[in-house]
Amino acid sequence: MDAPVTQPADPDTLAPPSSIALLGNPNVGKTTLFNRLCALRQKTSNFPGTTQEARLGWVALAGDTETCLIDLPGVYSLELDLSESKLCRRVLDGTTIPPGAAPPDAQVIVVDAANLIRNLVIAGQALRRRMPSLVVVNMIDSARRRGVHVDAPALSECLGVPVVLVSARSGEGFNALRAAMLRPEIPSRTPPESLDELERWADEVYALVGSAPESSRRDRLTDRLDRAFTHPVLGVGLFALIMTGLFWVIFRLAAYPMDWIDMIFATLGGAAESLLPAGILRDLLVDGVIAGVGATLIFLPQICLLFFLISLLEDTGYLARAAFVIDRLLRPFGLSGHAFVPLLSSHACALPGIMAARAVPDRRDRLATILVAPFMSCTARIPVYVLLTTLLFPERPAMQAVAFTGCYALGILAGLISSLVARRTILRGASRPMALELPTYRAPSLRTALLTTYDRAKVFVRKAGTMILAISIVLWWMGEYPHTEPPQQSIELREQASAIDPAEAGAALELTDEADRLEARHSARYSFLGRLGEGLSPVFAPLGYDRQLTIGVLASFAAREVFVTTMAVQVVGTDDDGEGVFDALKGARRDDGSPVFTASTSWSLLVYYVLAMQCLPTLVVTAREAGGARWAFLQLAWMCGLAYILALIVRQTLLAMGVA
Amino acid sequence: MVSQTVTDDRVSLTQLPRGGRGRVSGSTLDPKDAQILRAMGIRPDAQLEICRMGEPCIVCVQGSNGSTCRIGLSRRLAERVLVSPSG
Ligand SMILES: Nc1nc2c(ncn2[C@@H]2O[C@H](COP(=O)(O)OP(=O)(O)OP(=O)(O)O)[C@@H](O)[C@H]2O)c(=O)[nH]1
Ligand SMILES: [Mg+2]
Repeated sequence: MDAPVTQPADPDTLAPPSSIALLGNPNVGKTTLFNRLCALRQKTSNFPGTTQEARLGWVALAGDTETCLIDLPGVYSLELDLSESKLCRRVLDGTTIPPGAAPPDAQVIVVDAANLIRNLVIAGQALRRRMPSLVVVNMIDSARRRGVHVDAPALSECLGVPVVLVSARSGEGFNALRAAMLRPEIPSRTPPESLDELERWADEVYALVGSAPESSRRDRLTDRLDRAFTHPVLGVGLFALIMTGLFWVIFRLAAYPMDWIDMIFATLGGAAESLLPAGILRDLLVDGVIAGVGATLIFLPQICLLFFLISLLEDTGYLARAAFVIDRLLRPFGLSGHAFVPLLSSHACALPGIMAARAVPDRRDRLATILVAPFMSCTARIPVYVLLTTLLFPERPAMQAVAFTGCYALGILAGLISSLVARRTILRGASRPMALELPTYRAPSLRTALLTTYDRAKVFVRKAGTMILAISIVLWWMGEYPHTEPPQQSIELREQASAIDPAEAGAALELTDEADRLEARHSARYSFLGRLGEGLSPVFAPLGYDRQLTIGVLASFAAREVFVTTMAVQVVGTDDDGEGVFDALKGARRDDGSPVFTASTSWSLLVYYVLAMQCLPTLVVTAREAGGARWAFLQLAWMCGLAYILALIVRQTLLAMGVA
Repeated sequence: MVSQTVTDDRVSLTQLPRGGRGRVSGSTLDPKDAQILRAMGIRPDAQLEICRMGEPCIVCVQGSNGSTCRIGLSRRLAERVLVSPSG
């Protein structure tokens, strides 16, 4: 092993480090520690392998000088031939450092107080690098509760570097930690090199510094829970129950704030309508901005709830157990239980999901996971699902929920079958058997969950306020211009109306109303947007989409959330009475006056949105993580092709069955 | 994992009963899996206790005493880990 630094350590002459690497076993709380020190909110969860990339943060340890902290992925050994181990080695060697960081001139080795023996092995490996070091014994709160005792001075003596005891979750011991981070020391002892000796060394050190009671009642409870959660039948049942509960809560609880938001925007639109003088500004505000942004923001509650609940669930430690249940279900499709967390996170967003696939150790398993992850229904699809299920089953929440769940099921099924196809063709071979550490069960951290939710909500609102706002305005403008001459028919209607005896005002009003509607439809149709939709609609006509839906589908390639917004902007512009989004869209009409959202069209749209790849950022990440643009192209072609074909089949079958 | 003198009492991990204990005394895993499991704590002479048999097999790796590392293993891995039953 290389040992670049050989000078004897004199702590008083060492300058404070300018860059410190954080390393250790998975799930020992490195990221929690990092977040607390740097006031950041990188993802943490009670699952081994949460961090997959080196992350940077800055902390002022003394005065104004900022020290760079590098949070590394957790590894079981620095010497393994795995991508995370390689990454750690390269960062410690200074050969590959994350952009913006200096090569680390010190390391902080984080170990779990309740699992010291194994953690000592990696500590030994790291200390052999003879870098200025500090050992942080984390989770002393939970160790204490278990009756595990760690003798810090003795440990420091054995390792030859300073040792501090902390709890990254509560912040206990952080003053001492900051002080110690200013003076990491080059180890005054060298752990043995060979793995056999290193393991013996770890045992000897532990015997001197640690003591723990024989397994407690707590462990027996853990045993029981583990057996229940991983049971072939009971485990699947519990998993189904937990997931159903999750979605039920999301569906039911979100309904209230959604109604309020809908009402607020409808009122806003109405107020703007009555307060502002008629004209372009009012149209822009009411039809473009308020309708467009409102149609997106209405989904904020569901998205927040989803992130909140998943974060709570991740923190309990249940997911590692569920991974084994799912392993059994995934294996026939050529995926392993390692794919579970990537696929679950993809239900929030495919980007972190695909990133999490780095934790899948086998290359072909990993590629299969990456390819099918975007089939999982991400939060960006929620708006479309909600809209279409509401239109399909008005006033029948139970059926809406069933159809909504069906969308998720369809996405998962399509992913599984796609994986099977891939494993039979381009990714031949059996998937690797799974070994996974089962973390200690923990009460979830409400703080982490709330902060995660807040962050995700902020991202969503920002997106609504920038990109979606911009798209709304552009679409509104394209839908409004160029102004066209009114159609002959409406001119005639207006003439008839003015000819009617003033005593029969009702009849006249009816005629002018009809003329208004004709004109609105006419101008929408001959606007830029209308012509564009008209020109492209032959592509989607077999699926039953008219020009407005075609625009909606195309705009979704910028972001799926935009669909509802796009439809709202197109529809509200033609016919507004200050109603909510759903009511307005229910009444949407084609150019020939027939409804846009017929049952067969809605079903085919739903299928299309479940399956189609409409997310550019996902394609970029797929190309990067899978190691080549061809994987991204494959994903795009496969998903869109499948979506088109299945949507076509659904539509034609429904038509043949006589459904409108 | 380790090439030790063959003793007669070695059995596969899957043959231990629930609650049974054994000391890791070898394996027929392929080297890469063996390395990973060893790094995870299933190393020569480690004391294992079976929490759940079958698929998956759940073992508690007990250091000298009481430490709490639990590992879930696919049956395909577990049956290739050899242990000497103890108590
Ligand atoms: N009780 C307790 N829990 C902690 C402490 N520090 C972290 N945790 C929890 O431990 C779990 C893992 O924390 P992370 O910070 O994600 O661990 P990590 O080392 O970054 O994990 P990887 O990125 O997977 O290597 C989370 O559920 C934390 O809430 C602590 O001091 N006490
Ligand atoms: Mg981490």
